[in-house]
Amino acid sequence: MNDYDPKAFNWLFAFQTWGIVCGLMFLGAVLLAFVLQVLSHTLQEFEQIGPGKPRRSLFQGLRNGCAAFANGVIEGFRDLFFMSPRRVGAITVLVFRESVRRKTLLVLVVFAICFLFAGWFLSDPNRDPLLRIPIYVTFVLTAISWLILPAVFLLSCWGLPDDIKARSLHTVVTKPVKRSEILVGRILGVTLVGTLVVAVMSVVGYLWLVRALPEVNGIKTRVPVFGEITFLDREGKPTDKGINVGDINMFRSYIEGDTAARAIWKFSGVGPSLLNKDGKLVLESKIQGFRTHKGNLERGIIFQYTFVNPTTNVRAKFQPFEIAEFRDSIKPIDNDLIDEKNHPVKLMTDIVDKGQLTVEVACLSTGQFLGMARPDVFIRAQDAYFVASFFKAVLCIWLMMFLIIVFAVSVSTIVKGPVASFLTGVIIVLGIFGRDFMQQLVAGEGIYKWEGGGILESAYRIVTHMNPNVPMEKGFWTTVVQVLDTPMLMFAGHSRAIIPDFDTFQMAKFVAHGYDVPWNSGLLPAIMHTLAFLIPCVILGYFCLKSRELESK
Amino acid sequence: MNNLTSHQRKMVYLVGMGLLFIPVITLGFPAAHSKGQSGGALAQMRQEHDLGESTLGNVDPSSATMNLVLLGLRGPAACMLWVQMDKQKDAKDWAGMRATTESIIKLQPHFQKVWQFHAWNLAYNVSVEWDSVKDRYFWVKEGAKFYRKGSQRNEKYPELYWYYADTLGKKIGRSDEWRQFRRFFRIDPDTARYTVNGVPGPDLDLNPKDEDNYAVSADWFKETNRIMDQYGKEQHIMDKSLFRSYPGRSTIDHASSLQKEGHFDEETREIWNKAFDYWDKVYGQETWYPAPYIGIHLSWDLKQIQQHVETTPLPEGYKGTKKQYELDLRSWVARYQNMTNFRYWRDKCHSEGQVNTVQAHKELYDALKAFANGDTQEAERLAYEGLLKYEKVLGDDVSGKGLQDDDLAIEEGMLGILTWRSARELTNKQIPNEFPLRNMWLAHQNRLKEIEAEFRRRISPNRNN
Repeated sequence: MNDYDPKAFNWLFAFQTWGIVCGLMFLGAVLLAFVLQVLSHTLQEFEQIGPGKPRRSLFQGLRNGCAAFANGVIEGFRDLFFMSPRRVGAITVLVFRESVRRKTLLVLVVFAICFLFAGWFLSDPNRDPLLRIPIYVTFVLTAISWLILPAVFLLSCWGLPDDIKARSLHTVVTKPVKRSEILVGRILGVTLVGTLVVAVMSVVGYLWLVRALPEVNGIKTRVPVFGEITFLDREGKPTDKGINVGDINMFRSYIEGDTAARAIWKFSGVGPSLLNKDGKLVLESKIQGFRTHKGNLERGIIFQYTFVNPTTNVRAKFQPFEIAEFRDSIKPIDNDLIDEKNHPVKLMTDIVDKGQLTVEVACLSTGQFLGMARPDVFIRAQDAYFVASFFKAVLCIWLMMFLIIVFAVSVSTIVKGPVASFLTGVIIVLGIFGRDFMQQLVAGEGIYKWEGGGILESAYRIVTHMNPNVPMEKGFWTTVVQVLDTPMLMFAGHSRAIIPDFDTFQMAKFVAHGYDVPWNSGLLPAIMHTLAFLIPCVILGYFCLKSRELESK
Repeated sequence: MNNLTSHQRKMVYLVGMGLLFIPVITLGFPAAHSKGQSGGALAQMRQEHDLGESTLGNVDPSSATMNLVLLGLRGPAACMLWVQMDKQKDAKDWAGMRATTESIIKLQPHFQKVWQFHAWNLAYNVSVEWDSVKDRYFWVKEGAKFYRKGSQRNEKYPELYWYYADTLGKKIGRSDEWRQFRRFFRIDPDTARYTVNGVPGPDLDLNPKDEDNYAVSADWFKETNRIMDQYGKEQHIMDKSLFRSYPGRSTIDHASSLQKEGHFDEETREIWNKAFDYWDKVYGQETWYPAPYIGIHLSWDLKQIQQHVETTPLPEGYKGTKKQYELDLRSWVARYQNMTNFRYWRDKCHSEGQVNTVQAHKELYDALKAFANGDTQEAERLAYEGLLKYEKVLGDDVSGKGLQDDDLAIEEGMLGILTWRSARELTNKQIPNEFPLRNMWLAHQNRLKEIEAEFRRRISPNRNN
């Protein structure tokens, strides 16, 4: 959590991206389906009427194709929106039994073996709890996700193709069962098995954690309220960032001690609900220090909070204190403060301005620096229970599992087991390891900085051996190439969204470092991510299954 | 392709498998547990070439299991972990980095450079990333413990023992935070964990007998030499003659540190004498073979070399005369003594172990301290008395032998004169033409600027060391 900056879920951006990607996908699918329908009906008409009357064949083919397409769409949506819970339930139970028969629950044995020997591989029991808790918590949550994902992945990818191959699905579809019910029933069946396994693993994992780390019992997790950060330079002028002291990690920037340099945090929504039981506002910091000279080794670098009301210009200083690097530096702030003119002021009424609290941080040690980033100072709201945070993290693992099941089952409606496994496997690997790379590639960030224009321009440069630094000659064709490049790059950018971002579901980083899993930047994105894939996957999966000849192996 | 039925083919495969098992079992038979049993050929070869887990050191079951279950993927897994560790270090994820380090070491338990890299990383690179000196000490201990663990896993190899001793000695005793670290070595700052019967004490993993860090370091350097003698394994850190000197060097550092901290008592003198004894009677008596037929002791002087040549026959196969042999010995002894600075350290230990030397040091130290505290009169008095004693010490054949040309001794004398002169100047007193160590003062005027800077540093109120 040293360089993790949780961002609130951006509804507008999320829906916009989802709408564009799904819209384009559906548009493509609808067009494809329409063309195929019209083509197949036209060919049929050609066969029936004969080659002598092409216009008639074409007209009738088009008419019949359109009708068949419309019927298909209407029937499809009827199937999707009006499913029988009883039939879906029956299929779910069937899939559950089949999964148990396939010894899926054996994964629990592997889990048990992992936990029996975990103590061998984890850190020294005598180590500082501060270092042990993250390792143990991460181990438990990682073990759960790594064990459950392959199991449900295989079940989901192979279940439907195996049923088709064994013709057992043939007997099902002869009954009055809709294809949508088969699809949803299978998704729910595998999910039920997965849920059972995750539930057992998480409860056992939690109990193991409490036994291995008795200090976990009773600890609470922080509920941080983050603000926005701005900086003042050493002369007191506003600046985007502080100083770069040469730290390889660029997450933080630094302010110089004993100068006018400040880091200023603005917290919104500050009200009585954020006060603790004693009526104090708790500020926690993770500020890091950088010494340009040894200074007093017995003392840490000193810093100070100043609470400011920008409207009335009331400024109240809090007593200076030493930084506590990589530890919790918690300061409960009393409501009664003394301002710079020595007048008593109230934090919540005189300083907090329309729910907004401004906190300036200054380094008081001459020649020393303080490194800060946005999440380094936060208001600590009422703490949450560790167990609640742990199970929120488990819920996110469950959501990830559900997403993989939905994806894999949908894919398995159209391709055979090995292909479905390969495709889903690639999606998982890309989702876990490739998202950052794709993001940098599409955005032209980091080492993937764009040079030499977009796709077409680059192609032109390659063919003509033109250096990326040489500007293109101005003219009609350059304009055409550059205009066409823009939508192509947008397309590439949005194509990235087809791959799920599995990092969204990784909540171990919060729980392991003593934070509650936040709603707005943790759970909500995970839920929305799952829903964003659920809807198109089910629709596409249904139409794929509907169009498939189940009699063929 | 052939006329065998499926059943017959299966039987052939079965027999083939059975036959293949014979060499596998024979070769892979476990090592013999008692005399008379030969064990498997592979086990014997492992034993012979020191390749078995148990022959290298303590076996860590988790390490062995991990290497086994990874099959041939140990290399890629180790590479991935190294990359991960580096990223965690850059992101200052210390808990994660520490855990990854443990995993790496489980995959590479007998790769000494890996142990050395990680231990150094923890003790030196990670520790400086923390602002609090207590936190820094915690990471220095982590590094030292890592060396210790490495030496247990590779118990026949002296290098990790040496690094462990070196960390306890030099890292704790010479870094910027040496005052705090040396104090923490006796009373660990983590009092919640290291308090026994209500008395805060040391981290018993590192300092079980509650001793000075240099004393513990010297013990471990001795252990390093013992391991080297017992198993006959070479080290690749430095020349053997220097490598073997470290128990003595550490004892010298121990005594020097005590003086630096202002301890000029009988204990300090005893440690100097202990250092002298080790240097002269243990290290000086070790036999070195720098060239064919040549065996020398570092403690030899010309007379002893002559006596040795006279009393012992020429080595078998040596083609020169007795005179030539003596010249060879003299040449090699001088060369080795120069290389190890043997005579300097021996004389210094001897001089520092004298009562009058300790007293002179004490008075000069106290004078500087009194000056720093603003007591100029006392500073002047103590400095003058100290200088008188120091002049006597340097002029003495016994105590002065090891100090006359010693840079530190000159610095100390010059500082003493500077203290005395400054104290007089502050009280508007004339500086007389004659004063103790006047010759030294005049001879080393070229060093005055440097000595004045040191003087100012020592009397500064913000002084850290």
